[in-house]
Amino acid sequence: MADLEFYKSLKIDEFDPSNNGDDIDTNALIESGILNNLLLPVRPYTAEVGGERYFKFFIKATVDVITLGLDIASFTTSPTEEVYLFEAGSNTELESDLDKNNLRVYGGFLVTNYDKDNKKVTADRDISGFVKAGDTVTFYNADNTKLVSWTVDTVSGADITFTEVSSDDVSNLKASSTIYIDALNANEYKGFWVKEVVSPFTEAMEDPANEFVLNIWYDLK
Amino acid sequence: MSNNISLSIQNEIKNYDNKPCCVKNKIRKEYNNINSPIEYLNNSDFALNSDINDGFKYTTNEGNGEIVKIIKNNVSFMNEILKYKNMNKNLYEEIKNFTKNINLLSRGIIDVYNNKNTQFDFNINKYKYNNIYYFERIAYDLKTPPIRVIFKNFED
Repeated sequence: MADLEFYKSLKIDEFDPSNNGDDIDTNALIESGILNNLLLPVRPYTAEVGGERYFKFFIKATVDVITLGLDIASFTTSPTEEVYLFEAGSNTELESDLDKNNLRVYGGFLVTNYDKDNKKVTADRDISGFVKAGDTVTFYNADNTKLVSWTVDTVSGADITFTEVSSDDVSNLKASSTIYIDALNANEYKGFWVKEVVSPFTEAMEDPANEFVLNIWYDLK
Repeated sequence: MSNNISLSIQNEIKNYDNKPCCVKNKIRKEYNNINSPIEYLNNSDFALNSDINDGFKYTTNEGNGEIVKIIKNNVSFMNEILKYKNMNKNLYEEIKNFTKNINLLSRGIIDVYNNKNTQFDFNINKYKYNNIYYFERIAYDLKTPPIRVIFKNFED
């Protein structure tokens, strides 16, 4: 048994996601690499005109763990779809409970330039909506293994400066702002939301399928 | 040393149908957005409507947007945008890139009639440049010159 398991929420509806959410469904284990296992298919109308969808999932500990970090090691492979993460306010929260204009979201980006002397990273887009001063940003190798995490000093548009950087070269790597969780004891669980933004005229990804990669890192207590 | 677990989340995007019969219904749905400029396109007086000019800001279900440029004359699109070459280099480059890779997504005869019983023919094109999505919508009412409108969806 893995130290951590991932589950869907009790309410999840492909055709009317407005009431998604609620508590953990311990019969609905999320497995890696299974199509439509957490995010359901984007309907044709949404693919054409765009929209936002929210899906809730849970991380459940099977042993005592500490210092968990959760982030998007690899953002969506669809060029016209973006995903973000945020922490659930409560385990029974529904999408209709969310204050969508004031969500603290976390998300991924690609490093386009690294200026080590100035402790500065430039992202492939404006990241100020999901990377904030004081955040931890985690950089990932091509195989989605964690390379290093640094603390954000300032954010401006696509530029991030860090308080300190290490000797690691983060040029052209994927990175993400990180949600920290202090600890989970065995059998405790915590809810998170995926915010999916579908741009108008989003086209289907076929080979490979539309995908993003969540990564969680932790220590055993 | 931290432990890692990676989870690959995959989902399908259902293809929307570009057949004229289906495009018609979907565009009709967009017409229902009261604040949509598409609504104005459904009126042959649009070209003369002084309320809708370059820079007109609007809200639809697609988010907030802005009409970047309305081209009202039946002239070559490229000739028209060439005027921007010196005025707004970025916009010119964006449009030029778009026209290189024009992706005609939807074309259909829209049998929606305005009060003059004019039939409209719409083309909808999209392009992406610098992670911003632009939409070009061309309305022909078969009587007046085509109206080309470029929407910049700055929510993206």
